[in-house]
Amino acid sequence: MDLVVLTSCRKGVCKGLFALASGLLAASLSAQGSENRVDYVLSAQLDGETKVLTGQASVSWTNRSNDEVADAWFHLYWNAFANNRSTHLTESKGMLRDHEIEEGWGWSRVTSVAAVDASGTRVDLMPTFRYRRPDDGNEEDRTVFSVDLPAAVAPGASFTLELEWESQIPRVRRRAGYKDDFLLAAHWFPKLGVYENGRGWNCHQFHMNTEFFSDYGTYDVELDLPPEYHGKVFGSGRLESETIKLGRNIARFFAPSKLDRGRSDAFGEAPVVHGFTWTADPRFVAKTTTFEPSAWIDRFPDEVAFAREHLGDEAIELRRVDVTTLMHPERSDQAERHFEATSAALFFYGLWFGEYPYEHITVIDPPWGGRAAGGMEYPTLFTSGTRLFTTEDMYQPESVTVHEAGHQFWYGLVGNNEFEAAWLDEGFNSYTDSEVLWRVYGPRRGTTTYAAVPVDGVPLASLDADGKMGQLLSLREIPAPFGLPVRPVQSSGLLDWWRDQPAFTFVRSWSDPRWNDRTRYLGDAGSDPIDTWAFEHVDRPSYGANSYPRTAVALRTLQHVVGDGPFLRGMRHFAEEWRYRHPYPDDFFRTFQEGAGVDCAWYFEEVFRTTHRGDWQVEVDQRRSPGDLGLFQGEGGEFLERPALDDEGGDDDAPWQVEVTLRRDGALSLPIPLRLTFDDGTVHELVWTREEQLERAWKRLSFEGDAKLISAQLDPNRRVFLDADVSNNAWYDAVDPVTPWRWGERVLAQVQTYLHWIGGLGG
Amino acid sequence: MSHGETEAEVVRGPVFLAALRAAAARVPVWLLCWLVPLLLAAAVAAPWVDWFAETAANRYEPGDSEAGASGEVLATLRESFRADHGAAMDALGARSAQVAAVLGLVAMLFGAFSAGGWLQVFLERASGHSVRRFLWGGSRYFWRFVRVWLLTLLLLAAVSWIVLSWPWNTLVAGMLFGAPGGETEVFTSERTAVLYGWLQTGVHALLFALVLAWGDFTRTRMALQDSSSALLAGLGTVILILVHPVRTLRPMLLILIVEALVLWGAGSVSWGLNAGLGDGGGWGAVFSLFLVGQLALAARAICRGARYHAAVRVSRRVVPPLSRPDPWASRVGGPGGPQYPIDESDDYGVSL
Repeated sequence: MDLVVLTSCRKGVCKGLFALASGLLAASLSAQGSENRVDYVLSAQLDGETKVLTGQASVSWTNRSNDEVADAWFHLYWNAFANNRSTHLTESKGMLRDHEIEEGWGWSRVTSVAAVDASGTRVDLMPTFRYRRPDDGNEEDRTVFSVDLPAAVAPGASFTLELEWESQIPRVRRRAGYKDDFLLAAHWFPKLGVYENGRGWNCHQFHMNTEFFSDYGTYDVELDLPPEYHGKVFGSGRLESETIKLGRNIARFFAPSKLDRGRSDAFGEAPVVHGFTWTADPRFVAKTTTFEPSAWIDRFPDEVAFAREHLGDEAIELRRVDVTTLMHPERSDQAERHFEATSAALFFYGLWFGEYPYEHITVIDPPWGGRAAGGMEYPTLFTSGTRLFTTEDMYQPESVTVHEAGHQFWYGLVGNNEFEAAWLDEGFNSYTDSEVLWRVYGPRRGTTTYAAVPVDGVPLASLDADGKMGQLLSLREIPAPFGLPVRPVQSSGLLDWWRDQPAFTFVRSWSDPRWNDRTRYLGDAGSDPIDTWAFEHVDRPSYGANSYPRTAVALRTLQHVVGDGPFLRGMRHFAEEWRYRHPYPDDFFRTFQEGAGVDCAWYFEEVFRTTHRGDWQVEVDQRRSPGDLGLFQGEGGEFLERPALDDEGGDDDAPWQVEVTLRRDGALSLPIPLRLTFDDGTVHELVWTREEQLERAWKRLSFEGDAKLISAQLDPNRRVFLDADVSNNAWYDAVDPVTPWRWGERVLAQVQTYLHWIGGLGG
Repeated sequence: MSHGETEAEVVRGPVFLAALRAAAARVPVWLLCWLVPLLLAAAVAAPWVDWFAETAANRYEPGDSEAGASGEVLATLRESFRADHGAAMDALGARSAQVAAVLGLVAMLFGAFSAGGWLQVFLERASGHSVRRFLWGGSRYFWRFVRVWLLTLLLLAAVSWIVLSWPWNTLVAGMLFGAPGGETEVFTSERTAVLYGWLQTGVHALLFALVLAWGDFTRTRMALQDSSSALLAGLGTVILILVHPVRTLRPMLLILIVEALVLWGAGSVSWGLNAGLGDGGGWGAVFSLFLVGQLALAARAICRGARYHAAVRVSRRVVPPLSRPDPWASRVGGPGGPQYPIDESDDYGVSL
């Protein structure tokens, strides 16, 4: 009962703090940062047959808050995979990455917790062991526990806890687990929550839409594995030693590496990490190549010059980094592409947000069947994912690799609370990875896959008729008695390819990743504001849209609002200030403005904390000025016709009357540039200011003269990515006659080819 | 070629080659077979032309076709165009799909019709009045071939069920490959999974093609024997293919290979033109694209005709004539002439 009361109170307090006083209070709390320090010494033994892991941990924590801390809260992430009643699987409706979970469960069971003081005295804390459900009170959820400390830890003091636990590694369905002999152990040990000044332990349950949050420190890890893993085990930081002892493979890691612990990064701080992940697979092919910043500096001189101009010479102080790729032999020919993509991220992210401070980074390509482990970031190590038959311009694996490598900066170095503000890393990373992909790889080529083989192009229209009648007519499902499956035309790679004849019917599709962010944002633009706790979005699409592309689009539009240089300075300042710390949204808003030297609080409030949208459009009405018609009162009082000024001129010589109307739909107001081009070469450029828009949702401009308007373009350089519809941003006097026929031809070819094929079934 | 000889009798050389030559020579017939789907498809494409004309109107810069540039619309529909007009395009696409499904039904019925037409052309004299004979044959065999079409659909459904559903998943995936339910993630390598997928889709496509070839020979058999039972003719065709697999299927396979080669060549040209639109193509490029596509479809219409020519030629040699009672056995006189009564029950009459 007490537990329930405590849980409810806690939940209420947390929400209350953020909902009612998020501005000032959150700013004041987080401005001090949560700079507690935690150091782990971990050891674990793996039973290769049962996939049971037995572990021991020594956790040393230093209280850098102003509070006295009486308990300690831990995550036990793998219990999310213990059953279908956990909060994670309840929220995901029993599905993990499109796979219904019916077997391969995983769990963690703590068998011992003891406090150890400086003299070595142990106090058993198991009697105070309690599972906690701070978010939803779900009794079946076992992903958070706490123990009471023997004595409250004063500010500046430390405690050391020794834990023992046992885990069943799950079949990999999300993040961590095994597939055959492949192992990915992420968040695999009891992991201490983050104590926040005035808020207590921030230790959320493992939700479907949440990721991770923990303090920075060091990890000394010893793994005891079956001998077949010798030379095939890799982890965060550096492998310091690996030996076979008594028929077991003993591997020892330090994260950060010993070398990294002994150096200061470009900002004068000693590198630390906030997690340790390891992987092993006897079939791994490992390849290590060194990222050389100088090669990239030479390759992108304009980018370097721009960064130098706004950030100074220290922008290009990047370190050499060893990049190790781990792949199965069948895909090992793509190792170079992983390396290139990782290097691209290390270079651009480093150039813009400060150097990657570690000597090593590991890229894991999960094997076939282990895809659910892919696409995830961990300190100095990340999982990507690829497939056979891909090319660079398909962005596979490039987009995932750049994104996950980029997380080393957004999440790895700037350690925001992913439970509460996932967008601070996912969105920032989405913004940056699209910028990198565009610069390094250009547009992404759209393909259609038949029998696992990608074919260039995509169909313009889908000819799969919906509904029962559509399915019947297209022979995909003919109703039959007794539920008999009568499906003469079922999808099957080779047959589909022959039916579609892509070379004759498809259209080429090139996609700009930056605009693709906007497309994905518009997929769910109105459900929640960006600044919403990850697990409190209405559903997963809302979480996905807000945390990733919408934030990217908001940042890219911010770049237009404040200018490229100030934007870069603002982002850099934020990345520097919050390196190895835990920023919250207000910290970003404040720090960015400091760095950029621009007051744009209105933008953050409107774009990040509301669901306001905007659509800016231009309309043009242009005609020759008509001559004077009708009767006009003269000086004598009579109404008379006016004589034509020039009898030989006619309408063709009359001046042009041009009326340009700008409109704004939606509540969002942003400054929008306008460019008007006339046929005598005159160009008018002006900005429709935010202030004007707040006063009135439209603006009319009138011109009269000999020049005819040939184009009117709102946002001519296409920088306002938040615009909900850019198709009405421009007006051109001339009309393109070819384009409609060009696309009509494609539809004609597509339908005709289909009819030829299906007609063949008749004879 | 003398007047009165049938097409299949006069053409010499390998069956598939002779068939292609003979079908190609029937210009009005394959033009008709090419034109009908074109006109049907035009009914679907026309609203798209209108929609693009209205949507683009004054909103996009004419001739702005630089690939990958933010203003590019002609070469590829840029990302923002697809996002801004996604809902409208989806709605238009859904309507097109419904219409195309109905037209698909019409196309299948036209397929049954044209099968009769081709067979009439190839079973009769070798030259002259092709279109008239095509139309006559199409209507003559139409309802019989509609029954073959229905049988074809049932066979295709059976093939799909066997290869893409429970039987395959149990017997092949589960017992042979150790992947119960066709769950390929149990494989230890992606390459194995891909090869397995190719095997499955390859078998499906092969059986699909086999059913279509069966349909061609069944229709030919019915036309040759002037029989009306699709079921009996179909069973006879199964036996025929089993007894003469090489003789029956080789020309079909070779015609398919020729069709595939033509499509590969023309497809390369077509895709090249499509790609070239990014370099400022205009009317010329769009018309060329249309022309190459239509030439390929015309070639496919010829290939379809060739299948019937080959089926006729093969069937004439291996399909025995249907044993029927002689209608004149109890008569004196021959067809077309006066008939004489041979017993008292018969009346005297003149056959017209």
